[in-house]
Amino acid sequence: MNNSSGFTKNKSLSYSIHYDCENEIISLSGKLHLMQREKAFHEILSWFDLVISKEPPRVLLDVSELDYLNSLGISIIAKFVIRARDKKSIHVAVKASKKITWQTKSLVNLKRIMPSLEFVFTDP
Amino acid sequence: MATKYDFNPREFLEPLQSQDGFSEANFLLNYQLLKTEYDKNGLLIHRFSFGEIALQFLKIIYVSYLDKDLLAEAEIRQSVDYIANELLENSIKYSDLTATKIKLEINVATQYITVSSTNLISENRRNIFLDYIREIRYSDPSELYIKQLEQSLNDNDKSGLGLLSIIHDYKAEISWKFTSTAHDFKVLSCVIVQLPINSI
Repeated sequence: MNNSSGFTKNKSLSYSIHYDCENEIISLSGKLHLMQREKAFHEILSWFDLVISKEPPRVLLDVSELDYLNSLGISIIAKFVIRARDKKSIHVAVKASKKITWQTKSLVNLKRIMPSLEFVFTDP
Repeated sequence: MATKYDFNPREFLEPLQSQDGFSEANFLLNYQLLKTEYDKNGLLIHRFSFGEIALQFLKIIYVSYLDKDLLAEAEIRQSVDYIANELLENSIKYSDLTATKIKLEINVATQYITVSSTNLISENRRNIFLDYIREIRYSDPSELYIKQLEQSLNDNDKSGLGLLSIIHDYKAEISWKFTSTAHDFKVLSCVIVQLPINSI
């Protein structure tokens, strides 16, 4: 990608994806049902690829306002976490919300594939 | 830490008994139209919430029980949304091309919310499902789940995580029922997910 930062807001499908390349923050919000041949899917993958290739010391994935994500979406986050883990030099933090079910039920399992994964919850 | 999930593999392949159903919503969806829409825009999850229907049914059963607990309400809505959308997506993806309908059912009773999806599949697809069911039956779901996470996206065109996450993360039971049809190579497939309300 020429431009390493970007913002996509799909009003009709009610999600937005934001990548802040200076601070290495990837934010997803709204409701996202990913499909493999979809633009959002490739966009997220290419940002994940970019972050991994830059090998920053720390990256934050902010999903605290992502109310819905399907299993394919969880899979691509898992893939990202595995690739970051394999690089050994990238610290990954996830900003999550306890009010969002897929995060308390599924996302937290990613700690089992990357024990150093840091969870920052926005609510008590 | 791996949490051992306790389930009885013998119960797979058998339909779950309907539990003194209180309220049930059945959606008979036009497969061809849904498939066209899905190929174009995906599942329109922001327009329609199956979880909201389940939640409203549950509120009828437990009047005022949930009123003060917004977190529990959100959890019920979001859990059923996740499960129903995963089942519906599988039905759209794996239906036989000659299929005309997909039936999605939501049954809310005192102990369980049951979500099921029925659609026509090819015999070949049934065999793929049977292999998958065998794999789940003879594995520790927790180990299988981690294995699946590790292999995320290595398989083209499937994440493989949907049904496993329903079993592992939502502590729901899944069963399958295959019914032969008048056509030799077509089978009616019904996937039933039973979500215990006390696990929410």
